[in-house]
Amino acid sequence: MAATNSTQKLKSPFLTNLHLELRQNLLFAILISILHFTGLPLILHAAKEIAILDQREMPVPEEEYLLSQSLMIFGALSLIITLGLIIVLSVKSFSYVCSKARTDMIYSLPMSHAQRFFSTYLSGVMLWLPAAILSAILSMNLYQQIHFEYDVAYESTLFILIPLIELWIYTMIIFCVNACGKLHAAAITCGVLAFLFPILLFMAHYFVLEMQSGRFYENIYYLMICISGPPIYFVESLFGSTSYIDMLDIGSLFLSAAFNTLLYLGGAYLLHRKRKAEYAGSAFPFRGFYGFIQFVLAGFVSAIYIIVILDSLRKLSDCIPYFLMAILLAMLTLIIFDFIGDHHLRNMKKRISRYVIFTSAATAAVSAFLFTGGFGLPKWIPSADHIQAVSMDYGNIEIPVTDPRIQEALSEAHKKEIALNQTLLTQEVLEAYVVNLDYKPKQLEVIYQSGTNTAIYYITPEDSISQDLLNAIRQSEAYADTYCSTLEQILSSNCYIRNAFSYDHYFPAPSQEDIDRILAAYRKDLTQNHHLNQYNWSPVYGLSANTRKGHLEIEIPYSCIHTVTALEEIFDRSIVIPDEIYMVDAEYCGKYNTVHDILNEAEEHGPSADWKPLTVRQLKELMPYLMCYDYFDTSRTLPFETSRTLLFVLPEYLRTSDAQIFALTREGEKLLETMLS
Amino acid sequence: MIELKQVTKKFDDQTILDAISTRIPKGTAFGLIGSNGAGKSTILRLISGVYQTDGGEVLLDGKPIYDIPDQKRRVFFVSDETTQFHSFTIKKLADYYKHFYPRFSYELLETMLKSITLPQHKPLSTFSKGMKRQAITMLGVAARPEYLLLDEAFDGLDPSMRKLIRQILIDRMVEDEMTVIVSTHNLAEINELCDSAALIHDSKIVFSCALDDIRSNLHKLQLGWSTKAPEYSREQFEALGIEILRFEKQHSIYHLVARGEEDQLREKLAPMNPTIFDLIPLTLEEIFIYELEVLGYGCYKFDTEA
Repeated sequence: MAATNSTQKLKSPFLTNLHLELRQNLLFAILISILHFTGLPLILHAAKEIAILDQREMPVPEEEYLLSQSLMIFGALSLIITLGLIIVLSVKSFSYVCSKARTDMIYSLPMSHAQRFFSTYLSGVMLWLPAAILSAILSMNLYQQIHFEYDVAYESTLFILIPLIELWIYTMIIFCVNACGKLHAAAITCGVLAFLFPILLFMAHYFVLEMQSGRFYENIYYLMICISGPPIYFVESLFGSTSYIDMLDIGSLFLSAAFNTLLYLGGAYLLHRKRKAEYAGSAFPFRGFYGFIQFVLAGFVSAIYIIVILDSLRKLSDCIPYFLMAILLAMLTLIIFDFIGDHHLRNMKKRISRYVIFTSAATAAVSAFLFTGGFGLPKWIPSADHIQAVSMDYGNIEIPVTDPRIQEALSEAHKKEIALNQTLLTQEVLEAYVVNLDYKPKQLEVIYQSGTNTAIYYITPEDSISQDLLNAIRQSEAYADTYCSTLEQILSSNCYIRNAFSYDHYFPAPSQEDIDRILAAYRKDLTQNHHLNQYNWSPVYGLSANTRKGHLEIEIPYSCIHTVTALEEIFDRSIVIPDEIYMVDAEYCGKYNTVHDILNEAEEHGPSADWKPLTVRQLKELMPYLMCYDYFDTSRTLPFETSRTLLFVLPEYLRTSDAQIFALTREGEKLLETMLS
Repeated sequence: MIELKQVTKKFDDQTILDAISTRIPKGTAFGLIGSNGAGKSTILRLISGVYQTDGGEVLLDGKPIYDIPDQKRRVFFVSDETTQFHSFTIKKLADYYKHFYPRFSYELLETMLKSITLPQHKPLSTFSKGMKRQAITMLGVAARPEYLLLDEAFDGLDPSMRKLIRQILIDRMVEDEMTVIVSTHNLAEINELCDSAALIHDSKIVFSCALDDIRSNLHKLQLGWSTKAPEYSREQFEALGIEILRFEKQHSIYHLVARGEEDQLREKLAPMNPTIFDLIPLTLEEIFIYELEVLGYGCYKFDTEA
């Protein structure tokens, strides 16, 4: 018979299903791909156009902005629709598990659970991920073009997180659909996992760890992403005191988000495999998972309630009515949740006993965590004998301490002093930190790592650590190495030349030979001048290299004389170094009471007769005899205690922030007199 | 051959199938009959690999089916639901199934569709219930599986269409040695299509054997005596070793539904010496009713005293 002649060539069920799913959703794929390119890239392109218009010297009519603004709105809409379509696609791919009829059809097909799950999952990913990645790469490039004057290569890698976040959303929804037997139950589960769970973790981190220790726990943050996924970024930026994403290592962010995505993927597969066809139509067929969702909900409500009333809870005896209220609120939430999920409330006796267990357990867990301050984690003191690594954070630069002498000294300090002074981080400091977001405690942060645990201490140098130890730390090679590596990074980045989007002229990037030379000079400056290390954050002036003016931007203190010389030679004096530097001899400034007065006068009326101009060459000659006096304190009364105090100010920056005070040695005094005469 | 060995299936705490065992020989037409909610569809879903057993085994030629694509490929399940196909046209469904069932035959499908004149390019959502059933059954046949499972396949079909589909199934059984397993309440269909059947009630299989055996093993008897009818009780008949499913006396005639071969019954009743001994063959429907009546299904008794 004819029928027997038409036997098809057998393909693997995995490929068969993959092929069919791709074919069925082809229109989806085309639409999502187009929207990916009209989304973020369009927004960035519009931003670039606006940046070009902003840079015009002539006033630009509003109409010229209109197109770019419209493109931005269109791009934003595209982004929203893209996200919506990815959500629809993920629900559509696995919605059959919620329909008895469709489950019959799909489950009876000759495919194993694994083949069915992975082919369907992969088909969805293949439909939009390539476009998402290309769009992210394009966005990275556009972003770099917009911020051409800065090195934004590192920041722009954040765009790679976007496809990952989309993949996370897709995977998380598939997990929820497979965990439930009704679509609306899956939608509620998504809400709990995507929002409530991260918020609950955020509250634990923010209200307990961060508020008590004043520190952002990076490792815990990464762990939270590993557990709950990328939404914690947004929760932190919405409710947190600052946006941490800038401070974090993008690689670790990426890895932790990828880990969570894999976690959801693995979970979704396990659920799919364990899932029985008869679960279709049952809102929460997996009891363990249902329990987890109930626990998160109850915990969330309890945590919100307890945090709101936290201030009024001082004694344990006062807490009991509030706990009962928290339990009741949580229970009410669970009843509403069950009603929405199931549409009916059967077995009320059984349910009520479950509610009581879950709400009490959740409230107890949340209360225990809040009242014990995260089970004492922020106050944990590692044993000095088990310290594996020590690093310091000074001015936001983390310095690994490798010098065994310093490690030993720190360990000793830890044993004797630091452990005792751990509470140096006072409430005032914390409050200041919270109130003023820009405020950073000017303390030395010492981080001890013992195994997987980390303890952080903020040390006010004068109070809690000996000056000798502090000097030893500051003068260490490790310290110099860190600055050198930072400079090397800046010099190697080439961000100031590689840019097509430019109105300015740029200098060629320094060769590796030149970089080595600059680094050698810088190292010499760092090791020779201890004062430099101490006051590195208050340079006389930076080697002003604003790219808008076509100059290299590297902040190097003027006292880095070797470095400055090297840079001048290499860049053939292209770097802005003023020919003249004004100096005022503070000792003879009788008519001024404070440094502030001197600078105010100079800022308003220009340098007076008291100000003496010095050439760079003269300053260089003076350098060996100058001692950096202190970071600028404008309230200081004149004259200072030091015999001769000089104040240097750049001619074009007659502002208080650009001046610095130096003390002059006896030899220097003689030299200065010779120069001035 | 399909073999169910001590198969148990539970939905939550409710036992749907309780350690049932049966065999379905290859190349036969097997009917699943039973009361509503007895577990007929569950058996089909277990055989097609949709459901996993909670105990026991479902074997296809000695090998398990669940989650094994090569085994599942030999079975095609036509569910009692048709909503899942709404967005498909027959052509799209054929394209879909041909990827999974390598023996799928377009030619066969077209031949069958010509006889039932179903539109191939309209979505199934525009079809009537009967048309949907026809379409899906035709697709199942065109997939040319070794085992075709039909759940309530004849529901909603007009008599001519039933006859036509029955003929198509018989043809495939002859030509392809296809085994057909039908679950239905329509006992006439079972009667006309199947070689053997199983009656399922209350999670158990009441019987599972060839239809001829079923018919020859249950009879309706009319017994009468020429003289004044003696007063026999049900227990007296049972004392002769006759299993009685129904006992009734109208005037002088006794109406019995008894289990056993004709010869055996004659031999056992000989001592009573009835002058009228009429043995009336039962239809499958009557067998179904009497068998379930014994199990307490479908009985409705008035409380006369009340």
